[in-house]
Amino acid sequence: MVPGARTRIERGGRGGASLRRLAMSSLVILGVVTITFAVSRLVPSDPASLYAGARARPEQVERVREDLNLGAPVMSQYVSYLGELARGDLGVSFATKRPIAEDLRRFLPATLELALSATALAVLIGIPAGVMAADRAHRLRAVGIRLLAVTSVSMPVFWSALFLQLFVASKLEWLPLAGRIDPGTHFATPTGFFLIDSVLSGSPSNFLDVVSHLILPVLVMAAYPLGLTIRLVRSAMLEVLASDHIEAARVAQVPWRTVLWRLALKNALLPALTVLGLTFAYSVSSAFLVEALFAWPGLGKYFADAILRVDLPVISAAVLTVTVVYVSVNLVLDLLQIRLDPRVVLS
Amino acid sequence: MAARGRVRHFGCDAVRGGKRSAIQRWSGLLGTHGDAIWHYRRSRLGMVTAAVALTFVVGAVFAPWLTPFAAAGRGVPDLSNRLRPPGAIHWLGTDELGRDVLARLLFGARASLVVAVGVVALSVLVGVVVGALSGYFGRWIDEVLMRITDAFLAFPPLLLAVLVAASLGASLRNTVIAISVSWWPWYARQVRAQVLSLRTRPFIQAAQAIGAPSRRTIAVHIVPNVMAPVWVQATADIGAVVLTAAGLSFVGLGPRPPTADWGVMIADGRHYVLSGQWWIAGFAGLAVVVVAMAFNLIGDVMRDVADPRTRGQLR
Amino acid sequence: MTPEPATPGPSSGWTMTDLLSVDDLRITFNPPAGPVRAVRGVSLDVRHGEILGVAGESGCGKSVLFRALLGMVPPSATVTGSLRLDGASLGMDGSLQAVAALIQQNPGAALNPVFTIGRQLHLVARTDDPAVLADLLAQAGLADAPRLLDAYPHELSGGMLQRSVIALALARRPRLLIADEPTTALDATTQAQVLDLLGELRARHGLTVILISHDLAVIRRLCDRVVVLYAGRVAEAGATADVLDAPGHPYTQALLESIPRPAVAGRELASIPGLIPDGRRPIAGCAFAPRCPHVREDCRSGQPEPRPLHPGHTVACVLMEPPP
Repeated sequence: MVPGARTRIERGGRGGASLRRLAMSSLVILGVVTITFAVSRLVPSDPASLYAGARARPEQVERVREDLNLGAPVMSQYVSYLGELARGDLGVSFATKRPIAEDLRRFLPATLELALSATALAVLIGIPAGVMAADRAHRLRAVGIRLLAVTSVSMPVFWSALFLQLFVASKLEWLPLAGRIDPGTHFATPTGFFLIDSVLSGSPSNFLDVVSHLILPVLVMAAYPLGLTIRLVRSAMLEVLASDHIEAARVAQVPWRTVLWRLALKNALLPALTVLGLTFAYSVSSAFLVEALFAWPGLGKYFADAILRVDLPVISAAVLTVTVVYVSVNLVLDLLQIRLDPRVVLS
Repeated sequence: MAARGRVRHFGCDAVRGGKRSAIQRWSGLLGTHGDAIWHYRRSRLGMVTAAVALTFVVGAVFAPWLTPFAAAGRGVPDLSNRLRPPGAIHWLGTDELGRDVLARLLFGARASLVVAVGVVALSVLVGVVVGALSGYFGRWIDEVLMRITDAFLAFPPLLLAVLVAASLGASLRNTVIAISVSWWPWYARQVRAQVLSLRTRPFIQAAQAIGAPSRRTIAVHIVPNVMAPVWVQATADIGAVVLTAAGLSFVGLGPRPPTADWGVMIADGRHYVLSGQWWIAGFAGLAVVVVAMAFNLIGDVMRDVADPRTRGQLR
Repeated sequence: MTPEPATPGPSSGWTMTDLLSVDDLRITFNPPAGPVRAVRGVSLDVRHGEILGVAGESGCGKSVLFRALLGMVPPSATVTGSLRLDGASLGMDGSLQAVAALIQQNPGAALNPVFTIGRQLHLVARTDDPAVLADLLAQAGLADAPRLLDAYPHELSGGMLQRSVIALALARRPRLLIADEPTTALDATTQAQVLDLLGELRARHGLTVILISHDLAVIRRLCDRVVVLYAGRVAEAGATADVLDAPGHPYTQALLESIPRPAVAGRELASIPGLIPDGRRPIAGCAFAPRCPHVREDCRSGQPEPRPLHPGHTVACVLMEPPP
């Protein structure tokens, strides 16, 4: 983590720095597309049979070979792959024969709702907890939080999900076991985000139903990023707390509360903005495990089903899509950081 | 002055102290003389977690000799003993094919250990080569290698491994390759940063000045001097690799049956959890949690020991 | 009142003119590898309105000493000894912070990079009246103060930063300024200006100043009295002119020898052979003995106590005593 004590000199000031980030992200996305292409088309010994699926008949495999243009030189395959992507064509699922792009669009809101809720939870709890974990004035509390953090980064999501389902949902019956809403609940879903849609429906019971279904998967999904946030914020805080200006503030008898929560935290938060991106990434990438377990009708479950069927076009398209979303989120956060950091020198 | 060597007294504050406060300067002074292993052994938590890690390794290596149910560990079913709860004979119960869960866990530890060591070794190898070349040569080599590294780092964790494992097909060897593909960039980044700070040091510049070949300079002077923090990271990473591997095998991208594997045990055992047979998935998950936590904590203690500011916080 | 110590040292108990009186201060750090004695029995007085110089090599304990008085050493460190403020006993738990302010070595690090100067002044001065805050900056010699309130530290030059740090130090209306190498990080011109400012503040506000510096030229320029520390003990103390013109301790003599003097071209610049002693090992006898050109047999046995060379000038060296 970069500590909050150094001056960052950016050539060309904020505008130049932002442009450079934009160019860098485009380059990274090109790299990501290339890797995805290489892994899915070049790595398998026979991509055609893998794409067609395990139960495909030989003539189906042959058709796939033609469809994917696998006889052509690698460069021309790559170029046509880029062309398809540029048109928003992510290919066709071999299991359902449906266009993947369409499926993704349909499933994305459910996953985003889950991942954004988990990110919000992880960050809103993780940042204050990270600050407390760096506070030597309350040693016991700090140790307790560190223990919580290390437990949550060591717990497989599919395991914690199972036992939350067993105790909270099955034994205690406090919360629903799985799904996004009760089978009997119906309301219009113009946005696809049920939290918003249920509010729009005007019925509090709809909203409560959505929230009660959301709690367990969000808890499970937020655990790992929460632990990560706590650890990153703590180490950023420790770095800042050791700096001269904090010593100066303490000698000047600025109350410890102010030193910790205002003076030090603001320094630690700028680098911690990256945590937000990372938190989101970890939430999204555990989605395929969490959604499969909670029968959550989103991208993750779609992805998990594709893995079980070795539906390679769906797997690679989903990985690519999520990665591009992740890179974009990071770009936005980076631009935000450039705007917020007073130390970016304008020249 | 030349005859007397360096002027050691006045002015040293400015040279050595720099931006650091007096207190840091003092503790830093001690840190350079401290012996990391010695400090590590003083940490109670460090010793407990090291014992857990050692148990994991010993259990994996000596699995066949540690249980009377070695055949079950290798996958031989015993259908007359299906789903027995934990008891005197089967301490942790039996699974849906009547196999002793403890034996499966011990043999599953082998799969985890193979994957963990394999991934770390492979990733460190690639990461050190890429990081050293990038940091040492700089300029366009650095630019190209780092952009490639960035692209690999851009994938959310797990997803690239899933893609690679799905393309290669499910097997233990492919799990190692799949996780390594997403793991090496972190080491490359770390090594590059180390090399960059090392490159300006006098002994490297001296080696360059006398015209030592680059390959030799990198192998003899650079790599040995950057490995210490890499090994710290690699040790701490073992827990994360075990966790990731469990995730892959949970979704069916791990070793094929009858090979024992913790992720597969959780996946298969989960169908019985809600009907009350919690011990298969329960103990397998516990094994993952304990091992992952132990290595995470070992990493924490090692970092604490290496950093004088936090040294002694974890006891 | 403390009883008169057996040996008339730099600390002879509290007298009417003393603001601060430190007696037998010992600081030991306790890392797992074993204790490190950073300060090994320092007694000194700080008089009302004086500028006291504290000199010594890096690692001699001079910064740690005053941080301990301010309650700023880690809780794991052992601090013993007594501290008196205006004759009243004071704990070394940070109570001194109420009347003292600290000016650190590096002004670039002493200010919080993500808050404006005005915001930081506001938090320390506990008022957000811009007139008051601007006045503080003006007192520190910063013209154009109102504009500076909205500036971030990185927008200021080194000299302006150090003046802002001084303004922050003044914000709590302290009676004592502890300046730890305040000019080391500055260029020569700015150095002189900041030193003049410290002198001015003393004259204008009746502030007492402790100036910690390795630079004897800085101390000679500004200080009324000087205390020379070596390996966590007071080697020599007295009026600046006395100590620097007629040093009694071989260590002080060696320090003065090693200052480059342009007038004597071609003369080899002296350096003190050897290193400062390792705080982790017990030191038998005089800590300077291994490096001392005048070392005698009895140097290695007992620790020399401070003895008066003449009134107000003490030297802790066996040369002050008759040979055995």
